[in-house]
Amino acid sequence: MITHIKTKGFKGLDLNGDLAKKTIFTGPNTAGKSARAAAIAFALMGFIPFAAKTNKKASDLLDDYGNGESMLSEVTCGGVLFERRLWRKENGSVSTKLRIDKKGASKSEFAVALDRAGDPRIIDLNEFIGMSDPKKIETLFKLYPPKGDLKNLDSDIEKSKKRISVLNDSIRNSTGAINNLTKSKTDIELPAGSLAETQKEINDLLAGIDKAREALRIAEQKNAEEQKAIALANKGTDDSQAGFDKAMDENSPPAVDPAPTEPKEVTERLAETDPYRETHVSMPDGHTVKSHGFNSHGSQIESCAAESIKKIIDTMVAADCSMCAGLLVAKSELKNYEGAK
Amino acid sequence: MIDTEIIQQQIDGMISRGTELRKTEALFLKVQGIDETIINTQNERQLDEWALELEKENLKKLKSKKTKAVSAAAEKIESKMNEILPMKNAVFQATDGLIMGIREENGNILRYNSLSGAQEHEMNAALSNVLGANILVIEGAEIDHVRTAAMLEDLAGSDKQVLFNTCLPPRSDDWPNSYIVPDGFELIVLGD
Repeated sequence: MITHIKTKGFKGLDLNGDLAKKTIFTGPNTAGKSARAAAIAFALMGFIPFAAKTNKKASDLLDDYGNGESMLSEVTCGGVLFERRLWRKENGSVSTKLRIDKKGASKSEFAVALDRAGDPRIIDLNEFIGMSDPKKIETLFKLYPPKGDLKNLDSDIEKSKKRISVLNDSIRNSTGAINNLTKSKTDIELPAGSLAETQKEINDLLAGIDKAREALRIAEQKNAEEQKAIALANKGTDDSQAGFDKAMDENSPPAVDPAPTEPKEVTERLAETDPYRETHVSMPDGHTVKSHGFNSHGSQIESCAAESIKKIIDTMVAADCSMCAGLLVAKSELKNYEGAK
Repeated sequence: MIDTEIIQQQIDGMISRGTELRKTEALFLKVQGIDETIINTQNERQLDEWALELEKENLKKLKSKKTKAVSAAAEKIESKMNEILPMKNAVFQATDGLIMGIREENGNILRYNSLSGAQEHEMNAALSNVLGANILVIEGAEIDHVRTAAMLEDLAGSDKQVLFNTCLPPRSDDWPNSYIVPDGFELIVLGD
């Protein structure tokens, strides 16, 4: 128990008074009520725990609570005088001096002596209030230990909370996903019918396409066969014609029978016998004229043609067309034939 | 000759219709896929909800276990706080985090950080008591005289040294100019 308090230069006050075990200090503001409590705390602890901010630095304390040069607080506790003094040295630094019953003491001696004097304890509540909640609980449970294994229980509770959090997240995510899927489903405009009906229709259609392709293949095959048959029939006709021509050639006089030096295609031979086939005939004067059906093997035909031209000329003359261009051409042609002979 | 062109036209028509049907089928399949995903997700959510219910029950049990474990300690702490608090309304719970404050008359819990100035001074003294102080310094400037009287009455029976600072010491209704000094207390009037 603190029985006396004396200060010098502490918050500008020089206090000196006894303390009862239970004391009510009353008075107007700035009368020094709190200063006494602060001075006791400073003497015992070396700092002021009731301040808005607990300051433990000697130089700051001297600036905040002292007169800047020095301050002293001494308390009598258990009949022992405990003194704490701060003063600023010439170099500006602040020194702390501790004394027990007017004798210098180290920090540890001071603490031991206080303990022996009844261990006066003022709690630094700023420190406690500034702790985190778990730290506060830990501090209090050290003083008032609970039963059972709290550490394991706390660990299990934390794990359970985490699981709940994870499950809540998962449920929230699932709900979000379901909502999004439902929305995207409603955005799709479906035609009438069902998937099964559509798939049945597709299968029917595929079968129909297969059948149609088969029908097409058969039709194309038949058409091809028909064309082949026609081609074969045509070839048979050509062969008959060729046989007829050959027979004709064999019955013709040798003078007009062309002596084929090599086998010729039927069509070529047919072309050669074409009386209207265009060819070029060399004239006696050296130039060539276009002619039809006459060649070195066609003298018999040439004779017939000449005869025909003569008849045409006679007819035109008889018809009084002696001045017609046609008559002149006919005469000219006849001349050519005769000249060629 | 058979007219194959007609057959080919029929095939082309069927292929065109088939392409349309494939598009329709794709839409149906997409919707079917969405439906399946929705059902799967709903099932997963259902499982999560069941698991959540179970886990909540588990947490409840664990908290109850902890409450039992800490209740004796919490009661002691509350009791220590109430040695100082004039209204004996301390609240200390440490089952699910820390709840430290006072219970108001309507049953609401007022936590430390939301206490009024007077309540905070009372609570600080109470906490000092809990934390083992044997010198209680109480700043009673903001505490009204009724509460001060109640507080001092309680503190009179305490074995701790008490330094109570106040501008408003309790006064008698009958003699307003006289202070009431509880038994065991010494009144020091400063600034006179």
